Amino acid sequence: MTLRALRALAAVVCTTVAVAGCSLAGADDDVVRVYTARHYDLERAFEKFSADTGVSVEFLYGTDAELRERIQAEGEDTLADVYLTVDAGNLAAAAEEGLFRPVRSDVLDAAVPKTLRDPQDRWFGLAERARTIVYDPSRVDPSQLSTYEDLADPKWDGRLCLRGATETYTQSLVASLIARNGYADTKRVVAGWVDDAEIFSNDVDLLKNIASGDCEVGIANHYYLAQLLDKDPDFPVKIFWADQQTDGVHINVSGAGVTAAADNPDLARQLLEWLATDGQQAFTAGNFEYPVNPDVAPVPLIEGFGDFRADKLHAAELAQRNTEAVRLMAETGYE
Amino acid sequence: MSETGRRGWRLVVVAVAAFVVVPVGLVAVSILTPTVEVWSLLWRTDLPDMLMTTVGLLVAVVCCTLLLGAGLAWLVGRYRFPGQRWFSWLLVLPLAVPAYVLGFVYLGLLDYPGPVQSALRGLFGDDVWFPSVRSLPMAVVVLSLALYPYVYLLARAALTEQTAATYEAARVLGHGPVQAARRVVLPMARPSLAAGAALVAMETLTDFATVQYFNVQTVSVAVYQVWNGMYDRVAASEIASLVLLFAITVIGLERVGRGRARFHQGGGARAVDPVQLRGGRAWAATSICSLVVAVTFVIPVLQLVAWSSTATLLSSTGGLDPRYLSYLVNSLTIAVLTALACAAIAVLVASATRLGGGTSTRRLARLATVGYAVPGPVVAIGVLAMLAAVDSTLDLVGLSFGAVLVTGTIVGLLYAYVVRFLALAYTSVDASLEKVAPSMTDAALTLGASPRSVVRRVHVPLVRSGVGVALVLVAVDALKELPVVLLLRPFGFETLAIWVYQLASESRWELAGLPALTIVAVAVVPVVWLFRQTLQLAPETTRQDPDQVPVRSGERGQS
Amino acid sequence: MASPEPSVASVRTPAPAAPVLELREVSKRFGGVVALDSVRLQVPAGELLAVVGPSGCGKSTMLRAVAGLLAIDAGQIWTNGREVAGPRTFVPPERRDVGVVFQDLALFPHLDVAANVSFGLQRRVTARGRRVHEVLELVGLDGLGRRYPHELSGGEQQRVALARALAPHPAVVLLDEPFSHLDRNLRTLVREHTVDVLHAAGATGVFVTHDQEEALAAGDRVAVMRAGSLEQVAAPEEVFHNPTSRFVATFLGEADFVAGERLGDHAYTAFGALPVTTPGAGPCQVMLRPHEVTMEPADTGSAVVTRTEFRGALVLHHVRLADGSTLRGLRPHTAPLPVGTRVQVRPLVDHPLAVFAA
Repeated sequence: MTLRALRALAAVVCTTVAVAGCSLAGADDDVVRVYTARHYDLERAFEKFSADTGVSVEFLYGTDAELRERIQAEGEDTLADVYLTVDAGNLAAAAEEGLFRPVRSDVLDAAVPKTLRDPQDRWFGLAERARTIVYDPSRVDPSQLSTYEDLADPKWDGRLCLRGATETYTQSLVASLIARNGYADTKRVVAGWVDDAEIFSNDVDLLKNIASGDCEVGIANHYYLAQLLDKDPDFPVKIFWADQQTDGVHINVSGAGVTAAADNPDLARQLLEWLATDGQQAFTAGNFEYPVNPDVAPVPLIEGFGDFRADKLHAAELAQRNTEAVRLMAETGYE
Repeated sequence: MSETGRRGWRLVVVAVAAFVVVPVGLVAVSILTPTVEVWSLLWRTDLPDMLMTTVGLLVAVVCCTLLLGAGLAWLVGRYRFPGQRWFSWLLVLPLAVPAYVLGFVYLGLLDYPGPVQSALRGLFGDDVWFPSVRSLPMAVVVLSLALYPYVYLLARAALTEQTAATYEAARVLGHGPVQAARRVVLPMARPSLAAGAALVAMETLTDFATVQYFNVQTVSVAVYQVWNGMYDRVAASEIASLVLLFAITVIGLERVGRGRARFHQGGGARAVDPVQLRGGRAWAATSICSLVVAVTFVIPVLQLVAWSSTATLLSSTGGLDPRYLSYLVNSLTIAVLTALACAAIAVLVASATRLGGGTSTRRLARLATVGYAVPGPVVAIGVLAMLAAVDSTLDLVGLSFGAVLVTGTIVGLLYAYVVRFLALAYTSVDASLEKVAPSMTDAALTLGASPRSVVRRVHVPLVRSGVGVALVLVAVDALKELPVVLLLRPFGFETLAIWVYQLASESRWELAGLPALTIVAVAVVPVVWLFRQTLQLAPETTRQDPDQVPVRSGERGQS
Repeated sequence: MASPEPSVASVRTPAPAAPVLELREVSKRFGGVVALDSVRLQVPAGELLAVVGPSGCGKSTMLRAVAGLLAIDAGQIWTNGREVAGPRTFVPPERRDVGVVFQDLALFPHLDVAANVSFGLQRRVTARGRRVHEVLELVGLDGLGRRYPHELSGGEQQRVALARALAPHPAVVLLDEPFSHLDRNLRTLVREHTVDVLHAAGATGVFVTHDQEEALAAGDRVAVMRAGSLEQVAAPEEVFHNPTSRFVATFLGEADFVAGERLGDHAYTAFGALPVTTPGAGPCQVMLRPHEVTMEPADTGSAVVTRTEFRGALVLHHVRLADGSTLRGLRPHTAPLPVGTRVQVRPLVDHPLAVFAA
C-alpha cells in the first residue's frame, strides 16, 4: 500500500506543480493583487472597487514583516502589486527596503493629508486610528484623566491595563512620545506605566477586562471599543481623548504603496486612488476607522466619540522612532 | 550491512541532510556576524530574563508532561477500573487540539471577565482571589495539557512492549509494585520517555502563539519582537539561532537520557496483567482520567461549538461560508502531501543509512531531523531565502519560471514542511527499521535483490507500522501548523489554520470557532487510528508472531 | 620432531580441478583484531564443508566475506572460477550467486512461505511456481506454501530458510550456525535432514558451527578454525583421529596426552611402545582419547580412580597415574569402578596414535 502511495505522491506533486504553475505564472491584465496585513472586512471594499471599475482584486493575507520578507524574496517575480498594512512603521520599513515605487497622483495628493503619507510618495495612509485612553466610568471620573504621561502617576498603580510591548500599536505610541518628549523623559513615563500594570496581548481582552472591573483605565485603539459598542451599545467602557490640551491624541495609519515590481502599476495606483476617495467609506467604515480624506465623514458610531485634536507628528517619523521605542520598552522591562 | 557500505546510498543521506540543513543553516550563519547593538541591548535588558523564562518554561512543561503522560500511561496500562478501556484512547485526543486553540479557550474561560472568575465573584464577592491568568504558571499548565499526549503515547507503547518477566523478576527479588516500577519499569521505559520529553521540549520551544497569550517572553517571542518591531531581520535570525542552540541542547539531553543501553526486548512475551482496582481507588482513577479528558478535550471542544453556533446565529448571510470547503480541501491536501513526502524521505533515509553503512552516515541522518527543533518562521525564512537565491540564479542563466520556485506553487510550502517535520517521520520509521534484523537486509541481498528492490520488497513492508505512525504525526502537525503556511503559501491558497489565526488575531473567536473545530475534528480521526495502530494492535501482533520473528541481533544470543 | 604441516597440505590432496569456492590468502581485521589471517581454502563441487571453532575465531566473518556482506582487506575470493572479492574487485552480495541460511533465519515475516522461497527467483511466473514447488518438496514442506513464517514450528522455519537459499540454484550455500536456535533433540533431526537435502540438491555448502559433534557428523570435510586461521581442513575421521595440533585434538573431543620418546614409527611411554601416525625422533606427547584407554581393577595397579561421570551406556573414569598426570577412560555402565579403586591402565593399540612433538 505504501509504495503505491509513494508513487501517487509523486504524481500528485507533479500535477500540483504543473497546475499551480500554469494558473499563476501569467499576470492578468485586469487583476490587481494585494498583499495585505490588514484584514477587517477588506473584501467588501475590494468587491465594491471591482463593481465600480471592472478591475478585480485578489489578496493574500499575512503579517507585516513576513509579507515584506516575501515580497523581497519573490523579487521581480512577485505577484504583489500593492502592499497594504497597518502602522506607518511597517510602511516606512517597506519603503526603506525598496519594495515600493513612487506614485505621482494628483488624486492622492489631494485626498491624503501630507502628514499621513511618505514625503517621497512611496506610500499613502488610507485610514486613521487613534490610540487613546479608555476607562470604566463607574470607577473613574474623566476629570482625573488628562495625558498619556499622566498615566505614569502612582495614583494609577494597580488600576492600569496596557497592551504588550511586542504589539505594533504600543510601539508606535511610545515612538510618538519619544518624538515629543525625548528618550529619557519617555523612559520615565513608560517605567511609571508598567509599574503594577496588567499587560494584555490584544485590545479586546483589555477592554473586556476594564468592563468587568479587573482594571479601571487603559490605552486602546478607538475602533476596538467601537466594535464592542456596535455589538453591545451598553458596553460599560468610555473613551477619553488624550492630550487635548497638549500635542493631541496619538494617530497611526493603515496605508499602502505600489510595489517596485508591480505587474500592473497603473491598476494599483487606480486602486489606491479609489481607496482614498470613493472607497474611503467602504474601506474605513467596516472597521470603524477615521477616513484620511477630510471630505469623507466617519461612521456615526465613532462620530459619537466626539471631535478630537490629533497629533500632527508625521507618520514617517513614527517609523524612524520605532526601533528606539522597542529598545526603550526593553530597558524599562515592559513586556 | 554496515560493513560493505555503498557510496550511492550514503550520497542519498548526504543529499537529504543538505536539503534539510541548508535553509536552517542560512539562518544560523547569521550568528557569525552578530549585530552588536541589538545583542548588547538584549543582554542589558530582556535577554537574561528571557533565557531564564525559556529554561523555566521548558523544564516545567517537560516535568509536568512527564508526570502527567507517564502517570496516566501507567494508570491505564497497569490497572483496571471503570472506563479504563475508553480512557486508554480518549487520553490521546488532545493531540488533535492545537496548543494555540487550547490557549485561547482557557484564556477566555479563566480571564477576569470570563465565566469562571465571574461565577466566583458572584459567589464570594469582588475580592475573591484568583491566580494571575497571564502568567508563566498558566502557560505551563496549558502547554502541558496540550502536549502531554506525546509522552503518554510513547510511554504507553513502552509499557505495552515490556514483558511481564522483567516486572515479575523484580517482584520476586523482593520489590513492591511501586519499587519495581521505579527500579525496573521506569528505567526500561527511559528511552521512550526521553523521546517524548524531547518532542514536548521542541514543541514548547517553537511555540510563539500560546506563550504570547499568556505574556510569557521566551526567546522565540524575542525573534518576533526584533523582527517586527525593529525591522531587523538579521538580528532576528541571530536570536533564532539562539533558539537553535536550545534545540541542540534538547537533542543532546535526549541522547543522554536514552543512555547507551538498548532497551528493546525481543517482542512476543506475555505482557503484565493489569491489576483490578476496587472501591475508592477505582473511582479515584476514573475521576482523574475523566478530569484530564474533560479539561484537555471536552471543554475546549464545547467552547468551540458554542462559539461556532453563536457565530452562525449572528452571521448576516447565514449558513456556511462558501470558502470554508476550499480551505478545508487545501488544509487536507497540504497535510496529506507533507505526510507522504516526509514518510517517503524517511524510508529512504532510514534504508540508506542501513545500506550506506558507517556511523558518519547515521549522524548525518540525525542531522536531517534538526528542522523539527527550529521555529516555523525561521524555517520559512530559510526556505524563502534559499529558493529566492536558486530562482535568481536560474533567472541569470535564462531559465525563468516566474515566481514558481519561491511561492508560486505549494512546492516551497511543502519543502518547508518537510524540513520542519521530517524528524517526526524519520524517528518513527527508523525505530521501526531498528526492529528489523540486519540479517533481513542481508538475506534479501544474498538472494539477489538489488538494494533498491530490498527497500521496496523488504524494508517498506516491514516498516509499515512506522510509516503509518509517521503519516499520522506529520499530517496532524501539518494540519495545525501556522507560521510556515502563513508565509509560504501560494497566492490564493488559504487553509483552516490561516483562517483561525486571521480571525483570532482580531479577537473574533466566534468566527474562529468553526474552522478551529474542524481542525480538531479532522485531526481526531488519524489520532485515534494512530492510537489503535501503536497500542491496541501491538499485543495481538506480538501474540501472532512468536519469538521466531527475528529481532535485532545483539538482543539475542550471538555466537 | 617437526610439527605437522600446515593445514593446506591436507586440502590439496583431494582437490579436483576447479573448486567451486576458493579463498586465497584472505585477511580481514577489525581495528586491531585480526579476524581472518591469510585464510586459504578450497571447496570442491558438491561438498559440504563444516567450519568449526570457538566463539570469535572468525568463522562467521569468513562466511560474511564469502557472501559479500563484508569487504576483505587482502587476498581473493573466487566462486565458480570468478573472482568476487580481491584487491580491486568487490562483487556485491546480490550478484555473488551464494545462498545464505542465517543464524536467525531472517525469514520475511510479511511474506508467506512460497513468497519467501520465490524471493530470489527471477520474475518468470510459471517457472517460478515450479521451482518453489520443487524446492518445498525437496525440504518436505510441500503444501505449506500459503502459511506465514510465524505459523510454522522452529524446524519448519529452518527448512523454509534452507529452501529459500537453495531456490535460485546458488553456486554455494552458506549456513551460519543454522541449528543453534533449535533444542537438542530437534537439532539432530533437522541437521540430518538439512544434510540430506543439500546432498540431494547436489549443492556445495559451507556451514559454520561452534559444536564439534555437529561438525563431525554433518561435514564431508571439517575445517577447524582458531584466531582467524584454519588449523586443519580434512575429513571428519582425519581431524578426529589424526589432528595436526593439540588445539584441534582437544577442540574436537576429549583428549589426554602421554609423554614419551619417539623413535621411528613408535613412541616409548610409561605404557611401553605405542604405534604413532607420524614417524620422528625425540620427546613427544601421544594423544589418547577415552575410548582408547582401558582399565582393570588391580591391587597392584599404579593408578587410582579419582572421579566418575555417568554417560548413559558408558561411564567416564578419571584416573591419576603414578607420575601425577590424569587420563580418562570409558567402561560399560554395567561395570563401573568406585572412586578410590586401584587400577591397571592400558591403551588400546589397534591403530597408530596421534603424536605431537613435546
